[in-house]
Amino acid sequence: MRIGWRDQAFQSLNGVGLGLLGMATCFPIYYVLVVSLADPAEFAQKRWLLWPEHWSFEAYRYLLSTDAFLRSVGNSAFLATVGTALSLIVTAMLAYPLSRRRMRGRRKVLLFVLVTILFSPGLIPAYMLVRQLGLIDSIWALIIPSLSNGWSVLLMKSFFESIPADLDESAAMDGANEVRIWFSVILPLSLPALAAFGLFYAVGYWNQFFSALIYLNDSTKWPIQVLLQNMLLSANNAALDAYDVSAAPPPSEMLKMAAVIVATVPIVLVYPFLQKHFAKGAMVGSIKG
Amino acid sequence: MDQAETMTDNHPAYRSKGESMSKRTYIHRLVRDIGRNPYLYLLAMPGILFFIVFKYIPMWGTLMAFQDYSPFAGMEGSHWVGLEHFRTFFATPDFGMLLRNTLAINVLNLVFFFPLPIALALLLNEVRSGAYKRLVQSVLYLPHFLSWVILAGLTFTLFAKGEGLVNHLLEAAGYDRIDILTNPHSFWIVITLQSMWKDAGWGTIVFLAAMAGVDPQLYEAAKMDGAGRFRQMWHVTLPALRSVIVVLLILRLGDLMDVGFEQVFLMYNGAVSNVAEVFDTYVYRIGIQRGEFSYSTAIGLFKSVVGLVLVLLSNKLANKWGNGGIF
Amino acid sequence: MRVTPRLFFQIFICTVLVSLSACGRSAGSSREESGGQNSKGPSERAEISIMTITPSTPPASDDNVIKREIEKLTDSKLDIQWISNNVYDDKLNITLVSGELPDLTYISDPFGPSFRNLVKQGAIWDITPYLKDYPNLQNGVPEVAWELTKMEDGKNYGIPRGRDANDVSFLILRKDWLDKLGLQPPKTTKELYVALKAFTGKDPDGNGKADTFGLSAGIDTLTGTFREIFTGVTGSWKEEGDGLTYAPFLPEARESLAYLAKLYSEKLLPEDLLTLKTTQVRDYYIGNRAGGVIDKTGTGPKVYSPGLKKLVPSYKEADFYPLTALNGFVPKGTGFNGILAIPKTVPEDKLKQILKLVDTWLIPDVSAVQRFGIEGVHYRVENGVKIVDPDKLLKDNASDFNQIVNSIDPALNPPPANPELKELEELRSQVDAQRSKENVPDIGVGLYSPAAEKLLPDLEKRISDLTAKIVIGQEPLSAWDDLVAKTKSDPQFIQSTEEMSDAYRKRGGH
Repeated sequence: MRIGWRDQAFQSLNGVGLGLLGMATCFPIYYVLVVSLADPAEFAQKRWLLWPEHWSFEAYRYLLSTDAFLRSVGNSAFLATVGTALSLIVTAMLAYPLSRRRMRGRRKVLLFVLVTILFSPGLIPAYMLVRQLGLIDSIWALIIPSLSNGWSVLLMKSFFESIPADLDESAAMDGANEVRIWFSVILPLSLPALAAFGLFYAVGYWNQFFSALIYLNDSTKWPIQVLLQNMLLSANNAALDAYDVSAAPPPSEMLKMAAVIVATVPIVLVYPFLQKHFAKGAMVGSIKG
Repeated sequence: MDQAETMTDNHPAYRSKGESMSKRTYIHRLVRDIGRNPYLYLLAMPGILFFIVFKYIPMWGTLMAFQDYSPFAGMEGSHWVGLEHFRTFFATPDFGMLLRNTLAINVLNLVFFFPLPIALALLLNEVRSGAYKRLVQSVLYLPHFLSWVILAGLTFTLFAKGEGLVNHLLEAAGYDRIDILTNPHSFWIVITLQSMWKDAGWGTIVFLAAMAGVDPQLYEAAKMDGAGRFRQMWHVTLPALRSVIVVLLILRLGDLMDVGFEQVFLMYNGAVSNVAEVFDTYVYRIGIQRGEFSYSTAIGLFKSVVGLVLVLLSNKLANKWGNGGIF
Repeated sequence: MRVTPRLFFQIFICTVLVSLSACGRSAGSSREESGGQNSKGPSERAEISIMTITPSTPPASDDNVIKREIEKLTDSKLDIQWISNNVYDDKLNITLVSGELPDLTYISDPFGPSFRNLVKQGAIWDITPYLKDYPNLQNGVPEVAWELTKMEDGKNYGIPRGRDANDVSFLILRKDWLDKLGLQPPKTTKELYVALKAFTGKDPDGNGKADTFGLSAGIDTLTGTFREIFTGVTGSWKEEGDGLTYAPFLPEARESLAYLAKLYSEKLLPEDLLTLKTTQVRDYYIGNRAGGVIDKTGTGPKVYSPGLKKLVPSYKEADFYPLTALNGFVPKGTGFNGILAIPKTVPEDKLKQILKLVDTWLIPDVSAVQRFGIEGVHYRVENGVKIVDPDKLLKDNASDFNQIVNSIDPALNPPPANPELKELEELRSQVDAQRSKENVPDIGVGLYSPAAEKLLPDLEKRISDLTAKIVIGQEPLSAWDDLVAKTKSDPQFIQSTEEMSDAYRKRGGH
């Protein structure tokens, strides 16, 4: 059993190796968590630590007491829920007919959609359009222009193709109209795919940064990522300035780390909920990257 | 992939007959179909409208690349300058710099980042305990959910020269601090490592899914032939991934002119400017920060066109080598 | 319950309708309210749209009490778009794409290429001929600001936002540390070096650890300030002979780089110099680690001392000690911070209304509203002195209105609230008085050269990138010499210098 022995060794080595890799992957997040939970005075003095002597929720308490932060989390939550729902509806509504042979001209429509993957207009034309639609400084500017895209349509279409046409055609025989079929036959069968796409859209909306930077003026409409960019990375006057300075906040480094955690937790929590549907739909979706 | 066939228009209805004849009957049939089945078309309408408004209408705006666009004169009143902006762009030394940076980051990505999910997926596939495998997977997926803003923030937190953790540790251990983030020699590496950390785990999903589809009898047969783990991997698992790898590779090649804008934009600083500037950041700097709208639109257009050519080209190559492209 | 497609569609359509109406409401709300407002005011109230910056989150709302009061006093209806200050320039440029500017638009750099282009295209009102009718406006903005914001044709294409010409960002050192180390406030860069070196090596905070350093500043501020100190030139152009020389290429500018590189290599500057964010720059001072910053004197009590006093109870407001001059160089402000431009899409009648608005706004009684607020709400009068409630003012975004119209009338400055602040205020006026006597104006402001306009943005970026690298020791000084030599022989650069010199001579020097 020489092969068996070698397999065994490989197995254990592989397991340990992957475990180490996982830990290494987690380390930055661990560090952020530890800093955010440290005692402000201790951190101010040491400036870095791998394990604080005293724990404290001071940074979180401060952060969650500021209107600016809570408001931007709220904005992002709105984006991620409403945006994802609308995106799924529009994309599924388009992809379903495209997957059915009885729709005449579907190839032309598909081509029409796919061209947009290959060729995208630039930043400035896109801005001018959004402006003409009167969406500047509206949170809808972050949703409506990104409701759908060529990849999603293509991938969802191939998913719908895997649902046998007999199903809906027989329903049609029974006199149901196409909208009813789509809704009560096709969509229930598509939950795994919808979960996968939903996750992609939700991550996309939650992490949206640049379009918010371009389209929104009013800082009360900022999603969390723009606020984070201001806190973490801005070389200009930072959003933190707006906070009540006289309250003597915890070290800004700790606030940043707490903000990172608060901005990450909601979207990470979405994943397990969708996970059980997800495995099936993932193959379709993940090509999109 | 299946789309390979569906895309090429070989439906009998579109071929064979004379152009005008077929067009008329086609429209005729289309109208009849819509009458018979209006809801099917109704379903597609919002999506089609969306693509017209948000993807096609802005394409007209791209025409300003051939103008000296003045906001107050508008598109109609601005001067047409033909290809002047393109000529100017190709003549600046910046053009070569942008091309070098963009390609360098992408080649590093292709060499170091691209194979990583494949290797990881192969290793994960060998883990016997289902629970352990799921745990490791979930942990490796985690960074994918972080935004580039957070990623850039983390990078500074860990590697900044003064207050970064790594340098604090080095100093505590008696070594010199190292300069990673403001060092032109390490910028490309930092960008590549960031991508690896963020998406290598996530990228395994598609490969793991493809592996799950491999017929277990193939492994049995290989075992009968006395193949060990490695040889099974090599001869059974890997070939099953071939078509997925090819598709992803084509997509990757098509993106050769693209570097994640947000990623580079957020890591940019003065010391690395001449290795960090890529097409997209340049368009932003010239177009938005300096207000040269036409010129920057021209640069964006150039990038798009090259990207388009690259996709079509690599797709063609893939078809030629018998792996089936995506179109 | 089964969800039928019909029900689903009803839900869907409802969602769409609700979202559309919500969308409409957020855009149209101000208008509705303004209608209500209008009906009670006189019908000819000027409705003026304004776009400017705000450092505040959230910005002043449409029914802000300060805004209401100013509207009442100026008989106008203001529609203000507040834009976060750190994205303003990008926002302005991208707003320009559409060619639709608000009636009164803040322009941070009136000589930047995009604004200059607008002027060239005749898209902006020349307000020079109208000024004489608005004495408050003409006198409420410092003379020097009107001068310095003139375009090359000698006309004013906007209202400068007045600022105290003496209050500029310059070096500020910790007086308590200097005292402790037995040092005098430096007058030369040599003495400064000694002080910074002592801040770094001699444990000024007395905690027995080498955790302090000299000066905390961002790279651009640092190189810019020290170039001016070494060259003695404010801005980019120096008068030499009968023409101008590009100041960053003077040999003294090179010396400033060598000086800073030395400071950096001896760890007198923050290690993260190139990637520091503004908050981090300030945190070093607030965190009792840096002995100096480059900032305005007025920021001491607002930004720095509240945090630092918690760590160092003995720290006094006046320990935020501004250096009047270094090497005999006295910094000089421009007396303005950007301008307010009025686009030509506004008819002449409305232009006059707008100028009238600003004119009225500059009357002390009106400007007082944003300084002191409203009696009984934000301040009370005791013995003829207005006692303000700063928290209340802050809450109502009062100082944000300085971003539109700012009176520099010293009578409007609230008196210092405590002896410490009074001490700082005295120190500041002393420094200001000294500075106003002997400062160097920026002669390059307002000069125009088409070649320079094309060349400079790019050149400045190259210079800023290279100086950054030299300061942190990544490139040797010889790289600087190469850049200077190469640029000096560039025909475009030569032409730029000549054109600037011509423009300078044409203006008749200063």
